[in-house]
Order: sequence, then C-alpha cells, then structure tokens
Amino acid sequence: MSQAVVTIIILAIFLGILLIISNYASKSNVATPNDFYLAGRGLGTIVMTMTTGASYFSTWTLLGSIGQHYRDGVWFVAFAAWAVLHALFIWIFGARIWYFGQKHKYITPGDMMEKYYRSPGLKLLFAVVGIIGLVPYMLIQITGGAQSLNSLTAEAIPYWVGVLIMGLFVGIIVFLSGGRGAAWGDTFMGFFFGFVLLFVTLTFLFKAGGFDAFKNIAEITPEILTNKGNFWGVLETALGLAFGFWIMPHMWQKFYSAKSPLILAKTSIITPFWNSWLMALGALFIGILAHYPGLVPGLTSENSDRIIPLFFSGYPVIFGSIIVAAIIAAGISTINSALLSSASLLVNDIYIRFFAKDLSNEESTKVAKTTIIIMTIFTMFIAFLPVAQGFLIPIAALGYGIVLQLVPAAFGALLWRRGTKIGAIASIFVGETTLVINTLFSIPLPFGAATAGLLFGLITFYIVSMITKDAHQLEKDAVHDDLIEVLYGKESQNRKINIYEEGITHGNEAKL
Amino acid sequence: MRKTNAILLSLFFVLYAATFLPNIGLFNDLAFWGVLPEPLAFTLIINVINTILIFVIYFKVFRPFALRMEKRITEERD
Repeated sequence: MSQAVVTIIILAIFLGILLIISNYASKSNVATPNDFYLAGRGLGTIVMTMTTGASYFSTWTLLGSIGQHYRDGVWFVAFAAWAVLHALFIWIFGARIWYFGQKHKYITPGDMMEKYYRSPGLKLLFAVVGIIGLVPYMLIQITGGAQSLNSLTAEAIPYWVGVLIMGLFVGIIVFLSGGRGAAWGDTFMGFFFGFVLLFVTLTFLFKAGGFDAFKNIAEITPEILTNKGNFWGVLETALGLAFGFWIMPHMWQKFYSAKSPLILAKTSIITPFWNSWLMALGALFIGILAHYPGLVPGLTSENSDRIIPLFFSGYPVIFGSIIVAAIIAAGISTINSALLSSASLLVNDIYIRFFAKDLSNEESTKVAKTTIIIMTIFTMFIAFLPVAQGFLIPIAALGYGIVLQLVPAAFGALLWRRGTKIGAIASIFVGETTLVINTLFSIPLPFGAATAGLLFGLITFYIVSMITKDAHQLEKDAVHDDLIEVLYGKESQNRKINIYEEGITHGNEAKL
Repeated sequence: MRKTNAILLSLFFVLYAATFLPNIGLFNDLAFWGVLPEPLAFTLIINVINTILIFVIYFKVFRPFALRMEKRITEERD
C-alpha cells in the first residue's frame, strides 16, 4: 500500500475521532457567546492544561523549532527556559485575567481594556491588533501541516490538498462545537502529539548513541554544542514567545475559560513538565541529534524544518503516517483556538460593540459561526500565496511581534495602576509603528523589530502615563486595591469606590 | 504574603536571566557535565530549580489565593 493511501487512511481515522469528540462536545453547547467562545467558563485541570499547551505548541514545535535547534544548536535551549516561565505567567497574569473575567464576564481582552480604561477605542485597538496578529499565526499551522503532508507522501498529496484538509476541517469543527469542542479536541490532540514527540525523542536518543549521544555529536559538529552568542536574537524570540503565552488573544481567553482559580493553580504546576521538559526539550534533542550521520536521510539546512517527516520517510509507511497525523494535530489544536478567538474579536469587539448592540444571544452565536467560515476561507486563501510558504519561524514571529505590542497597555490593567488611557493608546501606536518601520527598512539595531517595538512602547507607556491622568483614577485604584486583597489576602486601606457595583458598560452581562 | 511573593518572583527572574549567561560566553565551553555539554547542562540545572520554584509559588501564594477565591465565590453565591 502506498504512503499516500496509508496517510489518507490514518488521517481519516484521526480526523474522524476528532469529529466525534467535537460532535459530542457540541451537545452540551448553549447558544451564548460565553458558552460558544469560552466553553461556559467550565474547564477542569486536565483539559485546561492540555488546551493551553496544545494551543500554544503548534506545527512550529514539531517542525520549525526542531529545525531551529538543528541550525543553531544549544543556542536555542532558551526555548526550554522560557517554557518554564509560562507556569509563572499563569500566576502573574493568568490569575488576574481569570479574576477580572469572572467578575465582569469578559469575553475578550478588549472587554477588559474598555472597562478598565473606559475606552471603546482601546477595545477596538486590541481587537484589530489581535486579528492582524492571529492571521499569520493561523497561517503557519495550515502551511506547516500542508508542507509536511506533501513532503512525507513524496508530493503524492499536493500542497493545495493539504491546505484544504487543514483549513476546511478546522472550520467545520469550530463551527460545530465552539470553545468546548476546541478544548476537548485539544486534549485529545495534545496527548497524541505529545506522546508522538516523546516517542520520536527517545528514538533519536537511542539511535544517536543513548547516554553518549551528545558526545558523539561533539565529534561531528562541535560548534552546535556551544552557544553561538547572539544575545539580542534569542532575547527577541524569548520575549515574543514567552509573553505570547498570555498576551495572544486565544491564550488570554483560555484563562477566562478555567472553572476556578484552583484549576489555574494546578495547571501552573503541570505546565513546566509539559511545556518545557517534554515539548521544548524534545524538540531540542531531536534537532541537535539529527546531526548524527545517517540518522535523517537527505537532511540539509534548507529542509531542516521537516526533520521528523524526513526521518520517517525511510521507515514503514504507518510510522510516517502517524507522524503526519501528529503534525496535523499540532496545527489543528492551535488554529481552532486562534480561529475562535479571531471570530470573537471581530464579532464581540467590533460588530456587536459598535454596530449591533441589541443582538440576542442566539443571533450573536449565529454571527460568530458565520464569521468562523469567512475567516477560514480568508486564511486558506492567504495560505496559497507564495509569501506564506517560507521558513516557519519568521512567519510565526511576525504574528507574535504584532500582538506583543499590546503588553504595556495590558500591564496597566493587570499590574500598574498609574498607567493611563492615553499612555496605553500611545504605547500601542509607538510599538506597532516601530515594528513596521524596523521590519520594512531593516534598521540596524542590536535587537529585532518586535523587541524594539516593545521597548519603545514600554517607555512611551511610562512617560505618557506620568504626564497624563485619567479622570477615573480613583476607580482604577479601587480595582487594584481589590485585586491585592484578593491575591494576597490583605484588606486594602484606601478603597473609595467599588466599581463592580456599577455593572459593566457595554452589555456583555446581558448576553450571558 | 506580598513580600514572600516578591522574593520568590525575584529569585525566579534572576535565575531565568542567568540562563542567558552562555550567550555572553559564560558557562559556554565545549566541556561535558556528565552526559550533556556545559551550556545545555547549565541551563537545564537552572530549569530544574525554577521548576521547583513553581511548586513553592503554588503552595505559598497561588493555592492560598485560589482557596480564598473559591470561598469568596461560594459566599457570594450563597
């Protein structure tokens, strides 16, 4: 039986299981934005851990990051270090996001920004930047999955068929089952590609010499076992991908979806093992050990983003087919959440907020489903353009870089009471402008465009916030005092106004 | 508790910052610490310590916050 036929059969089985899970999940769905986007804020520990992990780790982990380790060696061990940081971010940011989300029934990050800064404009900014950032991020999942499908089947399954499989299928399952289906599906897919990665890592380790594997590599390519320097280069990637764990809209919304803070707390202690010790280190071992002579046939620097498919091209077809299914799983588990999130930004933050405030729950869910179909077609269309088919990391980094510029404004709402509305808006404009100018004109700075944007954005946020003042500063103080009391169990001293008694300003409560 | 939290977070971030030392040439020789090359072993040792710190943070601050919140939510619901 040919590779293409076996791959199609395995994929059909895998996608069939996913469809059954999504269909089962959809039976519990209620036609409200709260339920459709956030799974009714009812996710438990295992599903929460797997859906945050599977949504964050994508085709990039199984393809791009392994290629990066192959090309840059231990320099990229920073990946494992920042993946531990994710657990801390669940405490620093996730707990705060969950608390405010639960308190005010926020659906999107923009909901929180509008309420905190009293600024519909900031909500719009967060939505627009979020959508623009999510599109390349979704794109990488489709192109990565389609490329590996094409590569493993010796081009028997064309790239365009892969794009159709990835895009259409994700569109269908998200359309059917929303956030609950995405989370349950992520749990299945996360376990699947996690165990595949573990299997491949152990296989590489065994074949490269077991405990002597790295010593063997030292005799062949010693240069990849020492850090090549480039501090600013790795800082750029680390900042984008570490902060991306909570600032990317689809990740932010995961924190809204947790059933309780105890679920989040438990998630935080499982996260280092899954994110760092399995996913990041697995990618590191595979990428570096791929240098072992004869281990990966036909491997060059140019095709190093496809190490796993290349490795299995010389083995019984069933193995390669399972690998493709795992890569597709990694892509789908990310794109489903990103697709759902981008639809929520478009529908909740733009359409309903500014054009159709009186939409019923049923109507807004219908609009959300229609938007998912439109977004799916749009992303698939871009996937056919040549610009979308280059090395994977720069494409993903572009999405992260765009959304990273929202960090200073989010700091204000979550951490720094002195931050003002004007400061937040200015920081986003300065950050994005810096990012665009640096990307277009390749200005010779020691650090990359996204870091430059974030740095200038933070400086702008601080300076502008120090010279401006919000009229509702007392309310912001009350928000932070309340937060401190909740987080650390202290009674705040200066509470003057409880803004929670005012209700929220734009009608989300009515839509629950 | 805020002080404990600040100390734990500071410790974590100092250790995390130390993972960048091989980028500036420290702990970056082609020597082996056991079965791993020095820069990799150095970073992974810090990773182990930071993983332990995540557990300390869980027990010292995150879990107490979560239990306090659950109690508050239950009271509000009642």
